[in-house]
Amino acid sequence: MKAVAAAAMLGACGAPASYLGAETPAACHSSDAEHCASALAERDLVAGDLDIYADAGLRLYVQSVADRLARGSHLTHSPRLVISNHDSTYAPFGNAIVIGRVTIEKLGSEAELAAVVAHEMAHIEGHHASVSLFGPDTDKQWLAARRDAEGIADERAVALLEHSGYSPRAMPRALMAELDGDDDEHPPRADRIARVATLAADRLGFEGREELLHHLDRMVVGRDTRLGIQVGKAWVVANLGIALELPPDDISHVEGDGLVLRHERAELDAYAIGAPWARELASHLEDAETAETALGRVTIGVAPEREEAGTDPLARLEKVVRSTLPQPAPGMSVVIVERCLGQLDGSSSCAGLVIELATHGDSVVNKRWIAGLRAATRRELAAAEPARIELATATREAKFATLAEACPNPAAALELDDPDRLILPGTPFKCTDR
Amino acid sequence: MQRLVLAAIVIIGCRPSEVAHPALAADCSPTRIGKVTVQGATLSEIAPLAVLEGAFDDSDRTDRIAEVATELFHVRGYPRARIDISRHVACGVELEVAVDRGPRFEITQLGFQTDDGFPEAERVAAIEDALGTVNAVGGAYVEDRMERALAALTRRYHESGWIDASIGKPHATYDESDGSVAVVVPIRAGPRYRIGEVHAHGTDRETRAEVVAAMGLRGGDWFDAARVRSGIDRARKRLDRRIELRIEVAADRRTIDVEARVGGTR
Repeated sequence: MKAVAAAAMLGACGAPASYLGAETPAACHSSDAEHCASALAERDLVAGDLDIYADAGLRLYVQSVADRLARGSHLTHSPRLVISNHDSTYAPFGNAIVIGRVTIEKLGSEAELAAVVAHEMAHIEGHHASVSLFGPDTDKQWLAARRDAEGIADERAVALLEHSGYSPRAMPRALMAELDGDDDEHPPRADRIARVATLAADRLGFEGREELLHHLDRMVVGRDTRLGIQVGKAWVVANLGIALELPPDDISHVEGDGLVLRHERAELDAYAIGAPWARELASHLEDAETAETALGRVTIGVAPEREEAGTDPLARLEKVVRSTLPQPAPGMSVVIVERCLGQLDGSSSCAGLVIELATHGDSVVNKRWIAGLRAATRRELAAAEPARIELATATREAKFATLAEACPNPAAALELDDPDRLILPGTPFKCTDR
Repeated sequence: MQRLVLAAIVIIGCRPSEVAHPALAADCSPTRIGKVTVQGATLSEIAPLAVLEGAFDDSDRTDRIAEVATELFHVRGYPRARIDISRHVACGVELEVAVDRGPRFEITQLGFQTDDGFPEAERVAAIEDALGTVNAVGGAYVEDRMERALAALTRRYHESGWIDASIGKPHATYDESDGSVAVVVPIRAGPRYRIGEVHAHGTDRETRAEVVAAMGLRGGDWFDAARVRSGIDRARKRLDRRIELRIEVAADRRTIDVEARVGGTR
């Protein structure tokens, strides 16, 4: 939304100088609401939690696919590609595409990757984020517009594949690989696949299976267990080099990247977040006490009531974007650990750990739990290493399902490609390394 | 962040050369939209329609998208914008989009005709839409959104103790000479009600006192439905009991009595 009106409103309000430890983007000062929201969302991704998959080579490759597609589109600039460390794939406001690592791992060729990118690019071409933000505002109309936008993005993606020489037949395959079920915001899965298959017909183009697979070799697969995993009697966050003992008499439950511990009415929730967000959360705790410890900077306090965003449009936008980040509920007792670890290349990587303690809990239990925080051992860090894709080479012509039986983990491998795909001798296929 | 800087260096240093694979020949199927052309605007301004290039020619859907594209002109300050679409068959179906924007207007004045004590900033924020670009000074005036926002504002008046409040139809004065629009919203707030008595029923005296204390409501304070609800929630959590809320309006005293009916453990 580049309306002059937007300029007047946002510009007049005096955007805050920084957002999550970085300078507030120029778009927020020059009153470009859509690009401001895009920049804030990307900052969330980079700084808010640990959701960037840091593989420069892979990002560069996916960007090159996007650049090729953009040349056949209405866009004057290719969107910036960001790879997230989970499965979220979307086009936020502005000119950016976030593609999930878990989305990429299921794809079988560069054309299928291009299909996923093309779908998101079509959302950018169609200004669909603006339609969501500024378009119909009743729920029913909004949902109808959303479903239309999703169907159009599928169909337009086929055209973008054609313009850039990719096989249009990759589009239905990519949808089959990625879509699990139906929801209100998309046309039914079966319809989506049928429509793009009709558009693609039997037209062939560049497929690029080996091109994609070579870039996926050694990519983390599935959940990145460095963000939190149970190893023996401890919960280990390898990205922070921290472990938390799991007392045998308590109920412990590892949910995704997070940990929940219960003892009678006492409850602990722990999860890792990005360093700037940890710093900001720690600085806003009430009754806070901070200590420098061997584990890093530890701040203990109480989560404050959420502030009213006020009437400034940018402040309200910021509040909406920020509310998507993981954060403790008001009134919770909170421990935040900020820690930096040295890397092999001499740099250091910082992150944070949030531990929420239910206030009605037993304070003795809380203290016992916090006393269980310690540095992770080498053995624990090794055990927290995630599974990765390891390419194998077919020695004979066979379906992927047959070849996958020879992988170290056949069941995990089967999640990574179409079981019925015919693999030719001498060509690669995806296994996991364990 | 350092990883990103490193990534940027790698990106600049080692951009891969692209494999050449030419575009596929155009598919001139009569079921597909081959091209979208526009008069009176740019392709970017009708982006939701422009992106139909290559999609199925579904005239119902195209009409819906045209409505959305028109709405985007409205929120950009063109309240009389119209979009007409004609189609003809060439290489696929070609859509010719004709845009008549009409004059552009910007809200220069937005006022409320009332002397009630509802906070002015909250009133303004309640009707403002689309990140401050619609129904705010400096933004576009969009009538149907204003009507829905005013319905929500009326509910906020009621929740804040002005239980008889009503908001009339806004009066908009367009000035074509300078593209300004002045909007006045008439509000009849009526009296504001206070909290009357706060009771608890259905359990022993000690627990009733605990419930009332946990609710944190005092007779004589302005009635605030959100505070009453959060007070009941707090009492439910603190005492771990089922608690139902009853309120009773005493119009003659301009008060609202709050009653908590306490049940067993949750």
